[in-house]
Amino acid sequence: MKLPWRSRVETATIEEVLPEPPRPSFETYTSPGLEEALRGVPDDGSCKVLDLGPSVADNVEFVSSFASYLQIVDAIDRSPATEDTEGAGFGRLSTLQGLFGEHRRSFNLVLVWDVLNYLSTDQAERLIQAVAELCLPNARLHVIIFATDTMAAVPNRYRIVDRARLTYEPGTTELRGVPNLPPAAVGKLLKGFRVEHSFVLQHGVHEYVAARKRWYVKK
Amino acid sequence: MFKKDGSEASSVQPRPQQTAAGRNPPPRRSGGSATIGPSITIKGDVSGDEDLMIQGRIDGKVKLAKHNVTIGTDGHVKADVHGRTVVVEGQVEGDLRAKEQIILRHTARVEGSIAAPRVTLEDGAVFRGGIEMDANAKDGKPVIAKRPDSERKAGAESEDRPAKGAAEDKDAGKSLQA
Repeated sequence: MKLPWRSRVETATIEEVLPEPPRPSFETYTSPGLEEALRGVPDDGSCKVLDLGPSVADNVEFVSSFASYLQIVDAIDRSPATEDTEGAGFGRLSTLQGLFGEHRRSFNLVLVWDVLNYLSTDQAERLIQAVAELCLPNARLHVIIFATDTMAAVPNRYRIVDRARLTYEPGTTELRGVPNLPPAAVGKLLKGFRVEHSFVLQHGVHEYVAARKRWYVKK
Repeated sequence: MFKKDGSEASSVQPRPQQTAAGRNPPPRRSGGSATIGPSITIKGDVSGDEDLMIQGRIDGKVKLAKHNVTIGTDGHVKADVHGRTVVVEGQVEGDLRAKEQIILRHTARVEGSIAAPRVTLEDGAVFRGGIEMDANAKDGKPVIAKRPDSERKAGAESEDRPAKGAAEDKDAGKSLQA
């Protein structure tokens, strides 16, 4: 004999009882910028990589396949105590002091990700200047700039799937406005580098690949 | 180099206890494992001949080159750690070195440098610093495709010429403060 309450319980799903909170979507896309940047770095195991994003397990594994050294900086300081000290909703630039050690002027590849979108012009210039100090001539820089109206309120977490594909994972569903960074402004921002390639992707992202100039203009 | 604080410090080795016969038991054999509990704080160097689980706080150095060191979820280490394998589940401010492997679990928070033939980082682990990758450990891993020589030459020839006021790279920005 089938009890009436039993059939009700069986048909009810979790979604009906508890509405699921919105989750950030993880999207995989083809990244011609990453592929181009990787094409320009040494492949003999001597490559040194500077990652300005947070630590991601897949990225460490990928980079270990061709590099001898990886420095993870996580350039946007997310700690509440230091948040937004410069106003205008910008993130706080983490200290880069520790980078000026034995690996000074030795990096071949810099993964900037979308960090520049979350910094004021002044902060971004300081960061790029510091990065230029750390790079060898002809080192490659991979930069992601949003060309959409809004972006996630905190930097995305980018995961390298393979040398031509990335997955981005927004850390939050909250959105904020995108700073106006047209190609000319990006080129100006990347002082010490020359933009070699730029790609406009379907989902409103510009990817830039820049190379460190041999000659560097002092500030 | 470091002084042990008598009020806070505690030895890793358990104090020998007298048996019913009134004689001390034989000393513990090497090769076992020791635990530094959550309420223990050590200021100074830690070394020994057995595996170590750290759930407390250490401010100094941990040298157990032939043994496994685990920094548990409650562990807070402000020290350089040297072990055969080093597993981090808690917090570390310092450099990690291992002869075989370093594993950062998803609960780990590490700021410092890492050097080991094999490094495993679990998703969720927070790491800030440098990772030295041993070339000997690369066997079997995918290698980035080689760049054709013609491309390399083309890249070298298109180098920018110095502009007025430009400085050569080797002198660049000595006074930079980030």
